[in-house]
Amino acid sequence: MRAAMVEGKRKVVIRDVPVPVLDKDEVLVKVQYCGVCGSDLHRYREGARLGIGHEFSGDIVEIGSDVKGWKVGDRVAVEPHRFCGECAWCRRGDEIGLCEKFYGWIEQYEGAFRTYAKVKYYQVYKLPDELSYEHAAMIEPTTVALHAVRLSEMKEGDVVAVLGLGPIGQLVARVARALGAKSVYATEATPSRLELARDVVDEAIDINVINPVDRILELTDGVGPDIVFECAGTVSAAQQSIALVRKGGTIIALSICFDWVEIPFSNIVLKGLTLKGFVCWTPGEYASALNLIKDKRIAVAPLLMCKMQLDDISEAFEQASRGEGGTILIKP
Amino acid sequence: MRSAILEDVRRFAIREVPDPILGKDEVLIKVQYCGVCGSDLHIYEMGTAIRPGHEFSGDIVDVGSDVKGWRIGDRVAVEPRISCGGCYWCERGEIGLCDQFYVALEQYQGAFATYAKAGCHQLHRLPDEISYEHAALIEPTTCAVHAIRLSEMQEGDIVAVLGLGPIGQLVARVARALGAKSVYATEKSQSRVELAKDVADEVVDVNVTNPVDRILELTQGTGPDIVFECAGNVATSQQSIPLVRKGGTIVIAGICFDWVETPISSIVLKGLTVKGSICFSDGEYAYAFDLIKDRKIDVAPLVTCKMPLDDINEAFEKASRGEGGKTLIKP
Repeated sequence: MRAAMVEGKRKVVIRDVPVPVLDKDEVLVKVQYCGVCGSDLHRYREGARLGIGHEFSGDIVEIGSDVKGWKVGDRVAVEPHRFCGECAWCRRGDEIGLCEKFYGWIEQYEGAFRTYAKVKYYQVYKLPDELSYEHAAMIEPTTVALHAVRLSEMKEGDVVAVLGLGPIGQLVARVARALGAKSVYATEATPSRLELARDVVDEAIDINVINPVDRILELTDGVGPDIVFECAGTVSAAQQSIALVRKGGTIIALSICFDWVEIPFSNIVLKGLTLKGFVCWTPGEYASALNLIKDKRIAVAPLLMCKMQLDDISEAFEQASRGEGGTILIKP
Repeated sequence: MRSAILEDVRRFAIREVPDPILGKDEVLIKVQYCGVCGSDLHIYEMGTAIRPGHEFSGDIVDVGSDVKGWRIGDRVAVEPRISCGGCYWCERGEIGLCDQFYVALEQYQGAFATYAKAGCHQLHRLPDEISYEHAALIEPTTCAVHAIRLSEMQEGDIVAVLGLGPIGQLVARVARALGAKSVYATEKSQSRVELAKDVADEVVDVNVTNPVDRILELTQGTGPDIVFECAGNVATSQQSIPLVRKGGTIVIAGICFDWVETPISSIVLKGLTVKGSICFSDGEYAYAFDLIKDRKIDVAPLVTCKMPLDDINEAFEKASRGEGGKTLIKP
């Protein structure tokens, strides 16, 4: 079968590889669509030899001998990250990113920008007829957004700000709205991304033109939003989140900014703030995200920017790196 | 009466001022002891024209006309309320976030003075077994209680306390009393290391040992469940992040006015929670009071210096040096 692999910095190639052999508890999924994620782009840019492609949907084409309840032809979405269920973290019901084996499995993960991907039977979710393969490829990033909103302990009627409107920020804004935020204010530098959010947020602030902290403080009578979701991954957004959020408020850091950020710790204390980061989600949230999309409580269709063939994956990664528009889906 | 008034950077003067005028629901207290707080030291260094002093105990010498249940001669500890009582935050008991906090601070008539007044709802009656000195430690103990509550520390948790000034000392003691399995602390001053030796499982002298390496070693490479940053400096603020376990919580109780270069990516990739702890919430003062009364924590060793009001500048200079425990002023 054909598989996309990172083989150097900004070098992704398509190779012919053997179709995976299933363990007894695994299924083989023919990949219909797989979305491009920021972490894939990171691996591409850095030449990291790790599996790429984890936001996918497809059809079961083979099942392991011990697998029950699934058949060839089943349309499925795939929860890509595994957790062991046995270590102290899993037994505590903690986020799966804390599982002892999480990073080990990430290193072994082969990716889904390829014809077939094999996964454990418990990683697949049946797609109802009304849920297209394309929309199902959005479930994984939606789960990230859902976890962020849940982690923030956002209540109905809260006022939230989303800094950065890449795919994750777009989904956080939508999920926050669906879960009852009174107002959603977003900030972004790219016009195409501001446009994508205009129907969803109360105000999409173009940071090239307006100081986002001043504007959001103005919109909230000087108090600041209850919660700030930092989805931009820039030093300035990280600093703005502290200045912006109200006293006693919460900041959720979703993006990964590898630069060291100068932070006024005294403000964290004097404003009584809570700042949380997370790696992945908690068990059960993938299914909840699937339902949010299936029940149309969030509209993901506008976020699907374009579909490209596996052969054009280099061009897809270059385009995605430019930070415009929504999500690019790869069709192997 | 006499009161210490900050008249310039690092300079109090003791002035004759009018006795406080009582509102109907207020009492006048002859101050027995008033502790020096880290925030008082910040004010001292800035030279702001404030009359500080909020960690105090004393005797009631006068009561307002509407006051019931309190009499002249009652020994009391006072729960400070530098807050308006009416804003969104005060209504939720988050007095540290009061909208009028800084306004109230400017008007506050502090207790580095012969007398101080308090609302009758701020008073806590001292049983005979609590000395005035120990009662002056209730307020900082309350800040420690608040920090631990924010951390959501569970019995059996492993905690680290970075910095053993009075707050760190009290956090270590309260964590112990509330069931921490292990308490590891870090500090650079010998006298402060000594003060915690009976309380912490190990006190890391940071002049000699790398605190992050040592505490990771003590926790089999995992790191403590919770880290309390009680030093208010850049190094300890930065250390808390590599130190705490993944999924863990950092509570920042120290106030570091320098900007701290922070690896935000570590906060994300380790799934951390960072919370700022300021002042305390409703009910926590009474809880701290009981911890001291019932001897669940031993505050006696933390009273290391008592000085008369006239020597307040010397007391503040001494407290600024970062040695020993709590300094109390006796007006």
